[in-house]
Amino acid sequence: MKRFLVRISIFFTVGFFLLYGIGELFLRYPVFAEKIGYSESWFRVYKIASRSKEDINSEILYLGDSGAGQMFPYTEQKHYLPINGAILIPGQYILASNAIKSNPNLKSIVLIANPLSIAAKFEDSFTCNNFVKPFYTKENLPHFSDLLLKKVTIKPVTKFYKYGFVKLLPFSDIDYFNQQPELTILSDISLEYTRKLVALCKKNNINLTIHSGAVDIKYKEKTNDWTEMKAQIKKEGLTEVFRGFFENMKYYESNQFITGQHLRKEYLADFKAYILQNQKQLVPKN
Amino acid sequence: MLFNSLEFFLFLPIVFLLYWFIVNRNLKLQNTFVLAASYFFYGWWDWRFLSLIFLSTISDFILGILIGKTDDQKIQKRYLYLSFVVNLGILIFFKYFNFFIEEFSRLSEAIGLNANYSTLSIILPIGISFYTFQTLSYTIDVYKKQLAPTNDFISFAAFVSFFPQLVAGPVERASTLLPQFLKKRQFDYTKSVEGCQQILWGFFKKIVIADNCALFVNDIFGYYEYGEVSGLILLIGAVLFVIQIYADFSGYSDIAIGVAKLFGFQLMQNFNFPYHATSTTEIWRKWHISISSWFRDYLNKPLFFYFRHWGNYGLIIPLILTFTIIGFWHGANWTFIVYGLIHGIVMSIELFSKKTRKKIRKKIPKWLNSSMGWLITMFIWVFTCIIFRAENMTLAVNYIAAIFDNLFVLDMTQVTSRIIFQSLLITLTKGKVLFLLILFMFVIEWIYRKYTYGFKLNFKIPFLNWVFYYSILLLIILFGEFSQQEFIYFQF
Repeated sequence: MKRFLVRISIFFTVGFFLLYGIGELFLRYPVFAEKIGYSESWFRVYKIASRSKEDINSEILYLGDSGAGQMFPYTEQKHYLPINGAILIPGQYILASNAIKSNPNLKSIVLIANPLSIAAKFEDSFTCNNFVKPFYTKENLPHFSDLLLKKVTIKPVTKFYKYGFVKLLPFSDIDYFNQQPELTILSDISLEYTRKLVALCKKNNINLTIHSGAVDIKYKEKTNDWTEMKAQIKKEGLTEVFRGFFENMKYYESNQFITGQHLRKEYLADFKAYILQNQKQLVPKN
Repeated sequence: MLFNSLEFFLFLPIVFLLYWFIVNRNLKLQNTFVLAASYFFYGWWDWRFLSLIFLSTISDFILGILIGKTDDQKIQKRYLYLSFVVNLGILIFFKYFNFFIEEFSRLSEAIGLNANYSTLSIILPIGISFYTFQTLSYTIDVYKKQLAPTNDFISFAAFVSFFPQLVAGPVERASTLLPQFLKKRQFDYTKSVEGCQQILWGFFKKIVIADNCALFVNDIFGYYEYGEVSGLILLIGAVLFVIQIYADFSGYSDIAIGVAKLFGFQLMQNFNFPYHATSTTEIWRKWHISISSWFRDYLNKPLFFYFRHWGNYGLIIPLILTFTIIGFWHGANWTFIVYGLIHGIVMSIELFSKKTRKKIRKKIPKWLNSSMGWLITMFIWVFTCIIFRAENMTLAVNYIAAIFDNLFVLDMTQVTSRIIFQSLLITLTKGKVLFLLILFMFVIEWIYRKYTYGFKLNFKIPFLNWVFYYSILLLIILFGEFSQQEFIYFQF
């Protein structure tokens, strides 16, 4: 019995260090994990996000939600980095911050997102795999505000998420969902990190524009033409960065979407041209 | 409690340590503890249904004693029938009541009667088909004088509810498992290591193979407009289901047997690499052995005896009847009945073509004979598994028809085919990785086919064993599907 317990303890101790090593290896060399076919959803986001630390070879960076990703897919260009709305504004901020650091020539950042993605609250079922696991790393820790950190570590086990191996463990997903309805005004973290994004771009002399993704017409009525969000933005002094956001918002019928915020293929080219057109007008010429 | 749940990962080591360190002093303590742990394990799902296990236990315990007390065969038979009534009564009520009501209503309507029988909202208690058959084997064995009735209620109750095999078998015979409860268990290092190997392999099969296959299978079978899908996709779906059901159920059995070994018990082998079989008869000797041998001993043999004067019919009728009932044992659905019936018919054909096949075997090379046998067996197995998996006979027929209608229609412009095919490839970068993992499973099981389970590592250099253990563990962690899919056989 003693022999069995000793061996099984050694087995699990060695196993722990092995897993720890693999976790770190996956975080540092995502290509390796990709090569062996590891494809968990958090890792797919992590892999795309880690490209923000590379040279994007462009003066302009596109960020956004999955709707934006339909037009600016990360597979096409290095400076296309829209991932999805569930990475939240803090995720977009971290991407921008990394890209600015690795690309001194960067002049513009364009964030394209549906207003619901911009408003998104932290307390959602998708947050763990799309924001916490991919972005809560030792390296990104300085980007985490007190408020964000408090939300991330609301359950004790999540304190260990910053270590790679914990992200790999089965049963490690935490559901952050709470019963609050979908927001049509900016959530607390969206507000905080939009401000941080504005400050970051200002500090680095980068033009930041926020463009709305395609919006289902039903929301126009539902939100009374975004009255509350507009008032909030005005009150919080963010009018400048949201210049043109509501004015240029393009609505589509519900049947023109595949699901939620994703346009049918036949409307993508038209909407992309519309965005590029508006962007030219919005970005001040240096 | 599911084996592939976080609760079980906590439950097992705690129960293991308490079992060997705290309650190891005497047999009574050991059995009481096993009983308590088993009731806790089952009650975690729904404590109300513990009363059914208790009812089954207490009735067979008393009936066993009563059978043993009298020498009058008529009275003994009455007690045995009473045991049938109690156990099969519980089973029929919970599992088949609504089915019979619905079919009776349909039949009444067909002959013009205005029938309006309402069904009941009944929850099927997990494991009911397994523990009722296990406890039935006790009264039958006592009646046949193959086993002396026990007076130790705790041991008997622990035997009926033994947690590793309570919910999905192996269905143990009282004559082999009960005596193990009547002897104090001693820790056995070699058995425990084997147990751990078997648990690890079982988890690999369940979490990595079966549950990843399930993602695709559920998608494909769940899309009911089969006519719109390429036959090739449907065929892939069927083959994946065949792999899923094997990995799921044999994985469960491996875990159950492995866990039992950790507690000093030896359960029977439930799968003997059935997909190496070259005939349907052979598959059934290797597939779900505990239940097929149960039916062979307690149903098929008495039926053969009963029909012994009927010539060839005396061979066919018992076989077809037994397998139809085995099919029906799986659940209250015509799909299961048809599944069993087809297997019964195929085995009858195999029985009567024995001589012809022997002649052919002499004329062609051995490898060709085996390959042909294997292909035909797998062809039948795959198509009967479609019936087994389908929600009803109409969908099963549609599925099979769509395979043949569109088999060579590889036109991926069909919207649904494209969507399903893309999901096949994307979900697991996943298609490629899954294919390699399935291959790995079958290769390992082929290497260890002479043993009772597919991962009986015994390298002379222990380091190599450990390398394999870690590899399997990592495969489970990195490629496992942990959405806690239930074991398929839990529903039976």
